Amino acid sequence: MLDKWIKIANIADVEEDEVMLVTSGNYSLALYKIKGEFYATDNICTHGNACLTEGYLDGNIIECPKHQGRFNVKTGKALCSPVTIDIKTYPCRLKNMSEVEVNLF
Amino acid sequence: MIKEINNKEVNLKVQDIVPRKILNKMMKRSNTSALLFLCIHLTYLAVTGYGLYLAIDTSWWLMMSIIYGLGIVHLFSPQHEFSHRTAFKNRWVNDFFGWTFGLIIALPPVFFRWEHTDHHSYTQDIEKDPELIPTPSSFLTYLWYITSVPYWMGFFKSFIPHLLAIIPEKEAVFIPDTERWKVIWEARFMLILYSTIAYLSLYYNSTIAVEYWLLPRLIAEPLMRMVRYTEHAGCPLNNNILENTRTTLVSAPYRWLAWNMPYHAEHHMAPSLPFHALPELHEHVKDKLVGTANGFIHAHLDIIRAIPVNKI
Repeated sequence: MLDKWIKIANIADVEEDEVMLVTSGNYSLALYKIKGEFYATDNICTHGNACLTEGYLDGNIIECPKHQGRFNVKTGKALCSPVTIDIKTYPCRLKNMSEVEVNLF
Repeated sequence: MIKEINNKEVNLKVQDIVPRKILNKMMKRSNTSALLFLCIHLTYLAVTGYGLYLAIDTSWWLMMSIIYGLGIVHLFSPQHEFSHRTAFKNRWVNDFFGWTFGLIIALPPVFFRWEHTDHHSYTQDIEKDPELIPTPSSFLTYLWYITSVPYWMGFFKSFIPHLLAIIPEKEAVFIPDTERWKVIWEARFMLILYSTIAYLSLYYNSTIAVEYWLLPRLIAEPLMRMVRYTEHAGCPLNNNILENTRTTLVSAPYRWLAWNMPYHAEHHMAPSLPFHALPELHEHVKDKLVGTANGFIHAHLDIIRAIPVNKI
């Protein structure tokens, strides 16, 4: 059986209330640490060709740097114009209290 | 120095120069900074506006109109910041002031936001950048742009179709379907507002709107054109964030009036970065920037030097 969980970062790599770009294979992900919890979404905005990791993280809201569309990073929900399509989210978990794993499948 | 046109793709990002952790800290929005700059700007307008009031009917009128008008046209600086929604923490506060200042300087805020976004996406792309100010082809072209006539022609070329519910083809590429009704109705709202002001001015035989708004706005626009000229004109036509935009080093009082926008290369490197963090970003990137100008005279000499030699 395939192990669906892939290590994408060390816990220490990401500071609190920050977003970091991580890549795995063909995936470009935005990894967030919010109140000690890790969340991952696609990095490319569903509206324009822009990287969310270059955007502004305010609480659990990430704002796209290009058109200022906003997503809830926990649910992926598109929150305001011009974004209308939710961003894909990926489950995250901690391994050995030192690594962040994400489920891409 | 004349710079060669270089279309080489350079996918350099600000994160390649400044660590993300530092950028994240700089990216925090600050109501205090926005209020401080807003107070400075409004104080400038109040003081010079009073100066204009004292100068009406004297030989100082024109000079005071220019000085006061400088503050009016520089409402573009906060309006620009509000369009990025990076001034205040709260989005509706940014939008409220963006609308207010947009109406004062006759810059349709919704349209500008979409156009400006494309400008950031395609900076110095001769085919796609909707705000591209070309390097002047001759000294006359250089002067012609500064007169502001091309700017106002461009304004009406866009504004009139919007009134008629037409989105020109070249604008349709950056205004999404869902936003077009806003662009159309903001133009109509502006027309109604300005017509009402004109009607009331005539009805009450008042010159207030002309003396304290329209004339200073028009008289000072060439100064704003000279500022806007320095942002990209003469810079290489490529997507290298270190080359395609010019930072102009200016005195602190002017930086306050312009909401730090002379740090223009830094702004283009990180459009999500609030205006108050641009000086800090400058310290991180200044050694890598190409073509930073030491003042507006230096910047304009750069532009003039970029004019083909046989056309000067």
